[in-house]
Amino acid sequence: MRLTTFRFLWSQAWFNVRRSLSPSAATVIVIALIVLGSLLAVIRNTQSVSRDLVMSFQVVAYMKADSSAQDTANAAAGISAIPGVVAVSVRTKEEELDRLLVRFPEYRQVISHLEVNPLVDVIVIDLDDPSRAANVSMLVSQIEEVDEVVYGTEAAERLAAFSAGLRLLSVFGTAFLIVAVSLVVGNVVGLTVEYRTPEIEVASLVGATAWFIRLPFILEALFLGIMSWLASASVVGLLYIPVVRFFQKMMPFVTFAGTFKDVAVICLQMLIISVISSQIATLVALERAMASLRKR
Amino acid sequence: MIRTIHLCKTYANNVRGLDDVSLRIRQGEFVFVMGKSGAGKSTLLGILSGLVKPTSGEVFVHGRNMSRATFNTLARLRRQMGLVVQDLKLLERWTVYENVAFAMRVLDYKKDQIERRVPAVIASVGLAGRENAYPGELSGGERQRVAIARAIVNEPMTILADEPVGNLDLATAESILQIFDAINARGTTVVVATHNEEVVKKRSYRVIYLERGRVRLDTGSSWSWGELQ
Repeated sequence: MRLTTFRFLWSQAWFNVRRSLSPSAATVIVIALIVLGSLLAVIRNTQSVSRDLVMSFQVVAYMKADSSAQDTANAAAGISAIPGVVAVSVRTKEEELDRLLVRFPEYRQVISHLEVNPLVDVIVIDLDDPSRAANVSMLVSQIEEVDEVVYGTEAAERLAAFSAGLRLLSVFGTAFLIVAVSLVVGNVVGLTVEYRTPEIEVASLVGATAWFIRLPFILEALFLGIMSWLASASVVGLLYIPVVRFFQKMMPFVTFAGTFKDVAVICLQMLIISVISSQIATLVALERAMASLRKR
Repeated sequence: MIRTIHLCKTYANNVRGLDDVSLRIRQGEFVFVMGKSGAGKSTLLGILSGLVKPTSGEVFVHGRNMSRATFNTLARLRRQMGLVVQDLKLLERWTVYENVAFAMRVLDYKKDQIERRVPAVIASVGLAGRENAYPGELSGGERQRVAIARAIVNEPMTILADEPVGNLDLATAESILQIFDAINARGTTVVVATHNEEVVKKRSYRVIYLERGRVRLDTGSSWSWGELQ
């Protein structure tokens, strides 16, 4: 296609955006996208909180009483190599005793009278997924110097189920939002296509191919998607950080997704959904119009 | 070359548009398709242009089977045809120039070719100086000329015109027909559907007379109105 022809189609698309995009239609699309952005923010923060909870889940391996520092280091190295283990930290029995004294200061008197530290070295294992806890524990317990492995079975299962459920919810939620935004944009674009049926008919009369007919509408939907995104992303982008900080203050024990990178990701997701849904809506409306031309 | 073989069209409620129409129109011929309202003139031209699908039968235009053509094949065929439809389908928000130029833009012509040819074609249909007028500012005859200009601007092999002089006075109708005469003189096949006997009488072009969807008369190329009567 020549640049002249493309420029003509581009100018037609821009003209039609200005002509057909009434303030009410634009408002409806922008509001739909703001709702979409808000839900994306909720999904992202729920994922962040869930990840935070998952990351805080640990398996603890207790070494045998007679194991040396070298044994503990060897065991830690072996554990690090197990799939699903993201971090391994060693707490010596002296550190464990200090922790005990901090947690139970009332026993300081009793503990100070002990001749030998009765505690053992501990290896704390962080996992990438709580569902791996049982398997990792089994492998760790097979290490000769390890005496006992402890983890919260029930908590691990619940956390794994919660995390998987959340992922599924995110997928369905995003799909639902794409459909919802497509329907809203589809109504607006559908009206435009209907309004411009004479142009489609004339283009068809003078021998335009299907893509020549589609292109101005596709460009128009692109304009519509990007303009609506600019307006809605501005609102979401401006409000996101203050709102997240507010909730972070209320719940300091969990980690929300409150960085500028998070805002950027949400805005990018909004842009992709906005453009894809407006294109889907346009192509569906166009196919209907073009099918009616073929049916006569 | 246009050829139809046992062409039938039945609309909803069993209304017969065409009934077993077999025709052959040679390249460069001028043909009038006549008949009363509802005789099947528009249906025949609609099928020849690919705007209407036949119920049965075959249609070959420039060697291609129209009845089995896809959207894009039809598009390519229409680039070799100029269509003047009954309701003209001029775009009201575009000027005369833009309406005509659009047909060239669809075929991806260069800007300078469009700028050179469009004014010349507009002048050839008698609308010189009206390039910047909008269709709403034109008379019925002038609107008809714009539709013809759009149909001929790509120098098609065939022109199909459905009732191009339908609601025009005789003088205007005659001037429109003279444009078609000139186009035909350059070797373009012209098929005009009309019920205006006056403009047909003045010419000895082939007449295909339809009645209730059937061909009642096909004069061939040499005849006179007197013989026909």
